[in-house]
Amino acid sequence: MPNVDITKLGKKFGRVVALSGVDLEIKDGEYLAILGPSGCGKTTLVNCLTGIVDITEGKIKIDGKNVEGIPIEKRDFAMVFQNIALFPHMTVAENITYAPFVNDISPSELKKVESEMLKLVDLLEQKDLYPRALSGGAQQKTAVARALATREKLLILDEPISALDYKVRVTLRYAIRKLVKELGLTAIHITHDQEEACSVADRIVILRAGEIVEIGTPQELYSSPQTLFTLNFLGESNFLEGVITEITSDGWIHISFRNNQSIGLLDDNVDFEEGESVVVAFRPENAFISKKSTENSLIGDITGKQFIGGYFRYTIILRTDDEILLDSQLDLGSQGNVFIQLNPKEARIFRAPIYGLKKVLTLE
Amino acid sequence: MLQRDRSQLERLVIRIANFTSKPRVNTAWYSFVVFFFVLLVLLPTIFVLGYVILEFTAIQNSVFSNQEIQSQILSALFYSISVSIIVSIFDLIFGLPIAWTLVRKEFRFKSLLNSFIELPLAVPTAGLGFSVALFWGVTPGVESPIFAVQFIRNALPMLILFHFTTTFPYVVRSLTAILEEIDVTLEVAARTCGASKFTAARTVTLPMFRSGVATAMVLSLAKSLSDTGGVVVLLSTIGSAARTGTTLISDWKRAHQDPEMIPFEGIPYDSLLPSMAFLAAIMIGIAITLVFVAKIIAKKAQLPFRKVYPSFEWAVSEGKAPQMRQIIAFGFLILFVIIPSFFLVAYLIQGASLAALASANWELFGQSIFMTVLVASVATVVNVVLGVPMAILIARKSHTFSRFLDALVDIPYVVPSSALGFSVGLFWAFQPVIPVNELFFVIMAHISMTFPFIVRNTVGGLEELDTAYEDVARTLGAKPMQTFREITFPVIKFSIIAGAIMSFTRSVGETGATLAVSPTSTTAPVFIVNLIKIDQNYFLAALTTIILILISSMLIFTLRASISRAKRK
Repeated sequence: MPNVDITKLGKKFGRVVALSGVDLEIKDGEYLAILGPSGCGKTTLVNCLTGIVDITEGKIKIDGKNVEGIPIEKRDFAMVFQNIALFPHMTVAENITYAPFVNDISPSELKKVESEMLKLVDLLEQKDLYPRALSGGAQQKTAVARALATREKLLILDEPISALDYKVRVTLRYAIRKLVKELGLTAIHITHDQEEACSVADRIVILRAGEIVEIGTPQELYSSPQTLFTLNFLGESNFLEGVITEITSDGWIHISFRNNQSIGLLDDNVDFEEGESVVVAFRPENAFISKKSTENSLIGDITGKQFIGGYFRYTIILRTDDEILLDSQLDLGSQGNVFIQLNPKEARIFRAPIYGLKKVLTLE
Repeated sequence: MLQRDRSQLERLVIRIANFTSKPRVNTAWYSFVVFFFVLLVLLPTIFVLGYVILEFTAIQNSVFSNQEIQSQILSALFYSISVSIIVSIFDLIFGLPIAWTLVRKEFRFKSLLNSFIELPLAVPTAGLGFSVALFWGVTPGVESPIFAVQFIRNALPMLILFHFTTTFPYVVRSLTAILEEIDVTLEVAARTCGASKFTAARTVTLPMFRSGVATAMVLSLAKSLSDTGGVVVLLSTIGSAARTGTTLISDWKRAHQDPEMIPFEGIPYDSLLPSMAFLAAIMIGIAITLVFVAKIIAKKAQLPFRKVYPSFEWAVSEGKAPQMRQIIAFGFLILFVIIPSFFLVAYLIQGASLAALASANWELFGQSIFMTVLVASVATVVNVVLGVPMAILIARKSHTFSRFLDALVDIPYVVPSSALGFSVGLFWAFQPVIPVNELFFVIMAHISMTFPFIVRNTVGGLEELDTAYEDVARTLGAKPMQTFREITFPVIKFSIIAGAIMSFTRSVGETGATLAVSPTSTTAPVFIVNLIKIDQNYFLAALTTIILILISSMLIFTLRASISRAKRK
């Protein structure tokens, strides 16, 4: 049964470091998403796994077997490519049965695989069409079926649905996850789309500039990320820079911001000290806005309002001079003074990064 | 210096572009271009076909009643057809692995090898013929340098070896150009499905590559059918009396102009012209048919793509096998293309003889070089000025008419050069408007012959450039010609230059067309042919060849350098 064990993996192209110190274990039957902005090394990681490029340092074991020096065609995995890469001169059926065909199985077996796979991805009616005659979604289904027909238990999906329309993407990603789970496969799914990663994966690996930032389930990474980068990259967030003025014995941390604005928050982290520079981060849905004056709140002016569907999203300029985004179901008009109470448990406090907030949040 | 030249060229283009921006001038200009192509390039090229129909009685009376003519024609056609078919098959068998390696593999001497393959293109075929004959052949009149193989006495194997040397670089170049367009990911995808490298290449890339194979076949066939000067020199160096279709035309033409040679091998004077016309028409017919058949074969042939031979294909994909394949292919390239092409340098070093230099006609030597450069330059300039608009017409104006032009443009390219020269000569002698001027006729023949190079290259460049850029410029308010000048031209000028290089070098090396228009016009390749065939002054012939190589490669080098400098900017 397939499990993948990556230790201290590094890859350099000349002097450019594409990956460094990547440690990752993928368990049997797991659906793992590798998420990161473009240029973060996702594709290089996959290329190392598949053998398209040689690794510079470290080790990759698939099923406990070191894969170094084994060519692509002899490694045990199936793959769906970013640009789909269907063979243009073969029909859907011929594309799907390419793996059994090159392994020279008997024609009757081949027919069996063909009808099984066509049924699986629901392409029976289009089996004699050429790829160019298919919609984007059908093309990608064909590519998935072609990969599954290899009968490998490890499936690698490199941005498999990024090029498709939104609705098709949403339908396909559920379909792919369902197939993987039904067939008991291990899947590695590369994507730059955080919504896609969250909706398909059991665990997500966040990759940035060739290094792993964080690994966790989608819920863990969304609601209690360990880094500012993850918080910013996964979903939306507001960041306020401030200084701790007081830590009370009952766990309240008082923070003051620019222009003498201050609030108190609750945090379990007892390592903070008074006088320390921190960043307060909170998601747009984790604050309460009101026209009336409330306690322990920040004051600001609404400068924009958008109806998102079910709620409004406000752009607010705080007295601290920071611009933030907040969601609320109340219609508060598109201007005017408001009071913002942060959910004291959901707002998170991070130590101020040494090289500045901007540097930490940039995607490259 | 170069900088200024280029900006002058650009300024000229700008001025032309501005003037032609006016709608009425625009229409008039394109009409003129089409008129020029149809009446002065295409029609002269195939004029002989009409002549054959009109003068059919004369042909019946001479060709069909004269055994000697018939046997000469049959023997010549046998050589031409069998050689071109065999050579094109060899070209493919060895060209594919070499093109593959050049495109898909990274190795140490890759760039060196890339330029090595192009080197023979700069050698005029007359010189190549001598060089190849020296290397492979038993040469009664010339002392060959040491290391010569000196093995071949017969015309057929000699012709095959020679044409392989001349066509192989073209075939490899066209194969690599198309192979580069095919996405590597497809092969990788095939390998993730468990296909060995060889299976992946054969079942995925090769089927998509069929049009490329067809183009390469056409190139190879057309070129082997066409060569004249090289063949004359080759066969006379090994002392063979055999003739191919093109050399028979040029021999007959020579006899036709020189009363002393009449009757030519038992053929009376009056029979010569109809016989030539008949043979030229057949050659044109054969060329067009072969090209057509090659295209059909490449498109329709059911190669066994839906079958695999796992054990065999794994064996050739693994371990030492791929390396062995490469070594064999490259060894072959060096032995059959590179060394034979440049063997004449060895001769030049070893056989340096003052006597040969002293007895030479230096005045004629200088004249021939001058004339070659003149003809090639004029033809190239005319081709650029008229070929680029033609390319725009084909690539950018999408009506049926331009598709029709697209098909017609290649015709002068596949017509064997002697047949083309003969036909062009016949056309200009036939028309009553312009008085006989042999230099002018020779230039016109060279224009017809090289016109497709510029058009094809420019069309290629235009197709690479997304029309969206031009549309964006138009939406920003640029006039059509402004768009051409500021968006299109800077991108396609490299393709135009590449076409110009091909046109110029082809013209510099051309013998057959020149001889068939006018046997008395001595361009440098004709001078070389005469030196070898008539004067037996092999040393001077080799020297002239080297000078022509230097002229061509200097041109190629300066243009290449200016391109790479411009690209770096």
